[in-house]
Amino acid sequence: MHHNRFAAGGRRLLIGLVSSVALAASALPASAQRAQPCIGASWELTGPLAHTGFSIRIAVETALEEINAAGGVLGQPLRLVAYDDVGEPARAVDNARRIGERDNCIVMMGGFRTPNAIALRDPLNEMELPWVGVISAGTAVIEHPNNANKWMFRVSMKDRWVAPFLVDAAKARTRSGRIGLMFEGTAWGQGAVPDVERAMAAQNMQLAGRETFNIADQDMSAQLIRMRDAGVDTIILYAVDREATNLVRSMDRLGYRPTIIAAWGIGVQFARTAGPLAEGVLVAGTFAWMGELSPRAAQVLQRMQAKFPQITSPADIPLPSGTANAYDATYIIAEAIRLAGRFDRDAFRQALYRVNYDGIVASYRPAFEPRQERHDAILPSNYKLFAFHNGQMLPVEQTPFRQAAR
Amino acid sequence: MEAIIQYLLTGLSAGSVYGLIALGFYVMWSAAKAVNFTYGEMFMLGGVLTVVLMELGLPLPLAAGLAITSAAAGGAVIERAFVRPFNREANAIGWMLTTIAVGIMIESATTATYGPLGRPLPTPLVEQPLRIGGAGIYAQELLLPLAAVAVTVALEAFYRRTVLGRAMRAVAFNRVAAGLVGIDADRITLLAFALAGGLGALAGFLIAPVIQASASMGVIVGLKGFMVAIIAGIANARGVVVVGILYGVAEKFIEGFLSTAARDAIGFTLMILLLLLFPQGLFGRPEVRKV
Amino acid sequence: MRRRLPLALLVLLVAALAAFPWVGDVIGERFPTSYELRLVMRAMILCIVVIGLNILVGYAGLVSLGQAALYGLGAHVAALLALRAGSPFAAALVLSVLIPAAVGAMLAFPTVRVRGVYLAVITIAFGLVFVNVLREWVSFTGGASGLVGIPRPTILGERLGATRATNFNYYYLILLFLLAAIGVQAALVRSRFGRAMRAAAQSENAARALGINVVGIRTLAFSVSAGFAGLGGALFANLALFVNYETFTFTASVELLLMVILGGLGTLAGPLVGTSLLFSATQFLQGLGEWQTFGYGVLLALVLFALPRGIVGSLARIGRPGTGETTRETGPWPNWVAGLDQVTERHDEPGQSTLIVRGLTLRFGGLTAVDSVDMDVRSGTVHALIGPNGAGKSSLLNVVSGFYRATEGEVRVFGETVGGLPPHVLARRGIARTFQNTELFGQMTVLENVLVGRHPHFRASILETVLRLLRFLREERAALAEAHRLLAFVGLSAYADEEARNLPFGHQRRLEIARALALRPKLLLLDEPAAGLTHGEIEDLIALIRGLADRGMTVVLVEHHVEMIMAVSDRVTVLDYGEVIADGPPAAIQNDARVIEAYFGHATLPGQAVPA
Repeated sequence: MHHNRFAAGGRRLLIGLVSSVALAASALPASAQRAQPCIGASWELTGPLAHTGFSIRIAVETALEEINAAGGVLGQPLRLVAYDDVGEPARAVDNARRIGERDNCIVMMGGFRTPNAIALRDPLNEMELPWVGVISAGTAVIEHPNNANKWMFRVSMKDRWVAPFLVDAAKARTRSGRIGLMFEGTAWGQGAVPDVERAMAAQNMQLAGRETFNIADQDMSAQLIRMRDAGVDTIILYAVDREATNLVRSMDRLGYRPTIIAAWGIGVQFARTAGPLAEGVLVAGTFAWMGELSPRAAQVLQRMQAKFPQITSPADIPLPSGTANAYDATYIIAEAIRLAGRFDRDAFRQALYRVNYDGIVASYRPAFEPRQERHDAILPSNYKLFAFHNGQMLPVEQTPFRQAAR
Repeated sequence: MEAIIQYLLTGLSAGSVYGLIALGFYVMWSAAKAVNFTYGEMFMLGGVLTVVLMELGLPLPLAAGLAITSAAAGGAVIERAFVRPFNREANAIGWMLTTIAVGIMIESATTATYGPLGRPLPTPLVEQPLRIGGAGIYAQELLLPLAAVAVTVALEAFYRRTVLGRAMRAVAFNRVAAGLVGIDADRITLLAFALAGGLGALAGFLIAPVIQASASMGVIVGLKGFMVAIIAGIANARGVVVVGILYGVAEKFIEGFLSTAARDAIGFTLMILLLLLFPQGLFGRPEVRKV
Repeated sequence: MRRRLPLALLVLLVAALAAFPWVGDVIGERFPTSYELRLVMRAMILCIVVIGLNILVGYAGLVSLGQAALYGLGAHVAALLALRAGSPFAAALVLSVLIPAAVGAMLAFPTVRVRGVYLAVITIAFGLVFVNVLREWVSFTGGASGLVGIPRPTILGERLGATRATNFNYYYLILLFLLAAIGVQAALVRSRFGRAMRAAAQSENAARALGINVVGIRTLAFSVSAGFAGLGGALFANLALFVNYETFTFTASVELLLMVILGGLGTLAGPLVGTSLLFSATQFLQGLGEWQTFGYGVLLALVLFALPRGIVGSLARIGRPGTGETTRETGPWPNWVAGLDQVTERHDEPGQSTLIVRGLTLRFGGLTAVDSVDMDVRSGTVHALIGPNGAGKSSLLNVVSGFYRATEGEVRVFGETVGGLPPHVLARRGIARTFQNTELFGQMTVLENVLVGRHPHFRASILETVLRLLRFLREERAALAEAHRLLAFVGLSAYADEEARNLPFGHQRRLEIARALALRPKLLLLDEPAAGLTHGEIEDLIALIRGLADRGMTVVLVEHHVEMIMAVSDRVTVLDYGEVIADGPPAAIQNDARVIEAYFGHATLPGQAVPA
């Protein structure tokens, strides 16, 4: 009765399996014991977060070009092997294994999403593969339970440090003394809540309102009404461009205009979509490519624009902080390899603690220290506040919002 | 009190989007007993195509008109190429999944070419919100319930008063019999899909100024609109629009008084319960089949 | 020989999978790395989940777009038990199967009331609710961040892993479970449970009339399907050591459904083919960069177009001999072969009133279909029920067989009142029926159709069935023998493996009767069995009915063919507008003035045959 189907099915399966095995085998790895001079990466190169992958890629490729032009590391050019994970943790894990075992790179770089980074914890440990994040700011990415983090490093903000930074800024600007928190229903947003509450407690304050919203939500009037009724005049916001735009629109509808101090999910795209409603929104970050730049940064920008013609102006760099972080991270990686003296992952890891480097975001002296908390290279003193003004995202000192309005 | 008015207003606009989408599903279902899961993408194209055409220099009304027409044409193409072949075999899953596949293609192609980020669609009606009883709403948003009502009225008039409309109802009722009296059921179905495509695009175009036109704006809305249509019983135009608006308002009230985090969980659970209580949908007619 | 080929292929596949981790040792390269190994493990896990979905969608015909949620439920149960309760692997596995199975059973409940697209919507909504809960219940599920740091599984102190250090024991464990899943699917499908699922999907009414509790079998299908999903989830959680909601979204449910369809709905090998193909495709498509999702959509659309029955299904069509290529011989009927007595042996004592109807009234809203009908059917007789169209004959039959509930009045069968009992219960008590529009299970073979009729006579439990224990084997063998006997009885032996819908009309009628007889009924209700038959076939039918009655079976016959009624019936009841207008031996009825009036409108033409 069923044999025909089964026979056909079994045969087909065999063909499918054999060919997939054959194809996979067509990229056999080198059976080297030491690592290869490549930086592996799992970024959001396509899909809804493609702009974040783009932001990182332009910086890393530009930095590598400079480094290789100056002779590379240990006499060899440093390659980039970038994989796409479309923002999915499962794919990030797959990519990590490819990088760790097939490509055998000396180090792996991370991308935008915090869950992707968190999912890598075990695989990286198992493969003893160092990882350097450049955006994913979730505290748990670096701070593992039982101080167990050995292999994961980051050149980016840390939510646990961002929170007090935002709280300070909020405290300085609130007039009613009532500060609220709005966060997106993601790992990043949800993870921020304990950080912000702790930071508030350290200032002997409490959140007057705590509201969440879903990704792709188009209207936040319910949440804002509750905030308004609680007397909140300053909102700490953890959101990305799209939801932030819908938020300020909701605010516009209600005629309710609290000061918004955002963690850095918001980038230049926000100005584009929110238009005049973006005016006065503050956002934390590590770097902005608009306004006055240091000579070195200006050069980097020039080189990026030359290499990537789609960047006609700094407004085309979607995540300015991420780009700068990635640039510095690439140099820190190169320096660590140099200090290690050989392409060996553990030597590389140890060398990271010895890196001293002056980057565009900060002066890293040293970049890392051998305790988990200090696997983050950028310290709170390097955090900056930016403001949206006339459609641009500028350092707050260069805008009318450098102080709370009287 | 103000909050309640706000929820009603915002719910009205969101619900009207659901209602218009559900209306499109209704038009297609009644003509073909098939559902076009690319429908959310027609909605998306209404907004995205308008933005793209405007960037190319066309004035807003022309851009919108072209976008809507293109979506209508798209709907027709999808019916002809992807739905009709499967409807022959009464293979219910076939059209469902093929249209899902085509929807994936449209969305990913848009993301690859237009980019994943949303772009604004400025119109004069989103510059200042209107104040109604202390609550605020953009005039643009009020266009949606207006459109929903207008379309419903027009649709019902079309169905009742025009020959073509009556032919469509005949096909919905009994495809074979309609064929026997000389109605080209295939062409009617084609028309229905085109009409629905245009409807979806219209909704997308109307709401895009408020929520920005992005490649992914159609996914959730399409799904919710479909579920609304089913809950309503997908039986008549008025019913689906009413249920759509009610659901939009219900969502807002859930957010306002229960929980924003669990809004969808509560909303969908409500849908499940409603479907259990009214297996043919709220306004559906129970089918009595002869044993 | 035919039977051996798929088995050989399966063995080959298993051997290939078993050898895979050791390829590197043979070819001296670092292959497979943990990357490839894990890909294959994930594919095997997905296979398990898809096999479950195939049972639900392919066999039971219930479209579910919530399978990923059940998969996720299993994964989270396993993760939570391991992480928070320190539960041992085996215990967690068991619960990861049972809890989703229970939830799956609950999902079956809506099928009582909703079908098709409506059911799909409920499963979609369920999936969305589940994901929402996972994402927002931060304290319990970890929220959007999920559960990380799941401890590595161990069994009896042995660490489970997919590395050389553990001899890839987890890999082999997953392979073992996959084999078990394949086995359970095959065992279930090739048993009365599988047949009942397919029957309920193809004709619910006929299934009910043969004693199948449709809601029950659907609950079973949902439950088993969810159990498979839960198992896959637990295996996944212990592999990835990290779970969050993103793996189990609506999109994932769609992908799972696509894998089933791609492989071939309702085929045994389909899930394996579909899963491996789609999974591999996803890996290869990554090379398309920005256009990978687009490529995925194109691939799907292509396959759905070119192979709507899926790969295995389409290939099966090619392999199968076309209808009409082989000429089959139709046997004569009724063919009283040996052993047929068992069919009629349950009959009531002669002289008993098998069926008593008193004051039966059936109203549909304002329409009275049956009006205060009294009827007495003696055992071992053929009792005809005639009347003009719309007289209420079929309605009366439907009440007696449980499909309609009487508004007033009483029905007693085998001495017991049967008001309000559902059709499948009545069928088990011994009432069998045929339908006016032959309700065959079109996509099942002729033999399978008859086998479905044996459903209530099986005693073997599901465990005995799946494990192929002795009782099941004995019963299945006996059922097959009986089915063949019945096919011989109606002359359809040569058509045993033909799909029922391909039969010529007359043969379909024969099959329906054979199927009804498989029930070994005490009371047989025939609803216009002669409609559409040739003159010769009607004569055979008369012989069959008479033969059954002579052997003690009670037959109620609704018919229009007057010659047939005269030839076969012992007693005739005539209905008109729902009322009994005459009741007596056929000869008396033929000349009854009221009967003639009912058919012709005026009471003349004595002695003239009333045309059908």
